[in-house]
Amino acid sequence: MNQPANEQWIRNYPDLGTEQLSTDAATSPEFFERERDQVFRRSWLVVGRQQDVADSGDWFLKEVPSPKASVLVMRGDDGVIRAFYNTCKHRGSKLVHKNCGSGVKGFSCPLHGWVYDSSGNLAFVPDENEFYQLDKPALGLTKINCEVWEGFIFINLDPQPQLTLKEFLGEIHDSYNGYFDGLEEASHYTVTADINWKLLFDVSVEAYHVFSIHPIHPVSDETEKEVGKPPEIPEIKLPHIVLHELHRLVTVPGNPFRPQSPVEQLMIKYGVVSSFTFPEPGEKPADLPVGVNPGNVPAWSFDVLGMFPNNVVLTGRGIYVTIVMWPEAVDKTFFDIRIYMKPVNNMAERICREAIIAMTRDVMREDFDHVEPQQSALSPDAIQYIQLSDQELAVRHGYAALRKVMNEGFRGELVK
Amino acid sequence: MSIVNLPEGFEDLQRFVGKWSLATEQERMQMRVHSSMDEISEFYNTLSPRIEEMLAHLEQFPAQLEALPEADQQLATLGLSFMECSRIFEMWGAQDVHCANFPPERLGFAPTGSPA
Ligand code: FES
Ligand SMILES: [Fe+2]
Repeated sequence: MNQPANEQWIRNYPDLGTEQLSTDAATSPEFFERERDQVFRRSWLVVGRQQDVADSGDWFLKEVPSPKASVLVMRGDDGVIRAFYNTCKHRGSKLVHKNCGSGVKGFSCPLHGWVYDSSGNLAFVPDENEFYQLDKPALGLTKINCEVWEGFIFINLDPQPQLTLKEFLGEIHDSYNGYFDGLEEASHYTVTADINWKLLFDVSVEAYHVFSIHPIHPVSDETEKEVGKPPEIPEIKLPHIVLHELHRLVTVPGNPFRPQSPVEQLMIKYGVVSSFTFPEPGEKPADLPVGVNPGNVPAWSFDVLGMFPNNVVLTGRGIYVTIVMWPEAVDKTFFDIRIYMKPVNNMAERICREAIIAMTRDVMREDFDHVEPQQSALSPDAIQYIQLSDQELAVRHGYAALRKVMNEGFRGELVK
Repeated sequence: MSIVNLPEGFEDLQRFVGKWSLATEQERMQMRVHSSMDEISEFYNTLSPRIEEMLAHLEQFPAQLEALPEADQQLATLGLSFMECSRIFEMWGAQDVHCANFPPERLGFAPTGSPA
């Protein structure tokens, strides 16, 4: 159901409250430590896609910055994807040092040569007779909980997760029906920025900023933002907002009727038509799963799925983007950003696809252009509370979900 | 890669190869944002009426650059650079979005298909 005019989304979610919110969440080192221990140490976290370890013996390392953990993700000989601490059980050396590899049978520790097989079992100990009693079956690599959903590899650093991955995903678990399959990684970026991880998350789940920082036409640095000057493009209202227990989704509309440039007409000719560039007019087509454009919004361009805690997924047709935010400190974050697109059949299609990649990358860089100045201005002397409109309800929900988990655990109630 | 002649029929674009035939997305973005508007205009406006023919020619090849003969690779990377410039040039008449606080060099490029 779309929102009738003049009605506010908060009516669907009265428990969220309407108060201003403390800036502590983005500036306080104590808040950050609690967030690290109550949230990141206990949540299911996306570390990659199953195609990153397509075959047995494929592996990659994920260096989780906070809480610090070097995580080895590997597909075993039996085809199962597992995650381990990257720590040798002899005397604790770091087992592997490269970022990724493929086709290995296992790993041998660089320090004394203990060998682990592709399922993490301790397979060989040089000069084993010199040890007094070695319980080899118990000395496999230390396991980290690892599950796959719709091709996304999740880990959970809690040895006993409070929720199964299915419980954690809740309503979204059955909403995607293979939507993420079949698209390939087209581009992969990394950014380290001096911001709290939530600043980029927050700007991703509202469209209030769009007329200011994603203008269609450039505004000159000198004349822009005169007081009272109307925006260059009409403001965008979110036509659909869904707030789940932990996760949230907003729908971003586009203009399917704007004139197409000659290059865009070529893209259509070659069938390279993501809904980022070409929003879909009319009703939602039947081939989209229930989780994509869940509000059946006409002129749909894409959705922003804000997955708890640190993963923003933009879902369009023929394209999706993942932005995973890894906090390093209260004001420092590592971003892992990947664009997935429909595979192309030939070089002409490949070239057309590049236009969508450049556009997506440019828009993302516009968001990054604003977050560091925002973080630096967020001093507790200058501002103690932020104000959130109804259009920023998904931002408010993000803080409510975070507080709930920090205060009451994953099975707790949403708190204002 | 050394410069070779473009495939037959595209000789008029040869003068752009040295600057714009770049194999990676990162190089193409850097070239775009660090070129003058005059350079981009000349490149873009010259390729605009030719891009359709370029695609018609390149359609016969697989989507992986390495699989193409050198001359066609160079034509393909010219096409990729053209697309790199397309939206920002057509819609903004500029070489880059606002990036005073987040210069292009801040964006890291990981190899595609590699876990970070
Ligand atoms: S620490 Fe790994 S073999 Fe000794
Ligand atoms: Fe944005």
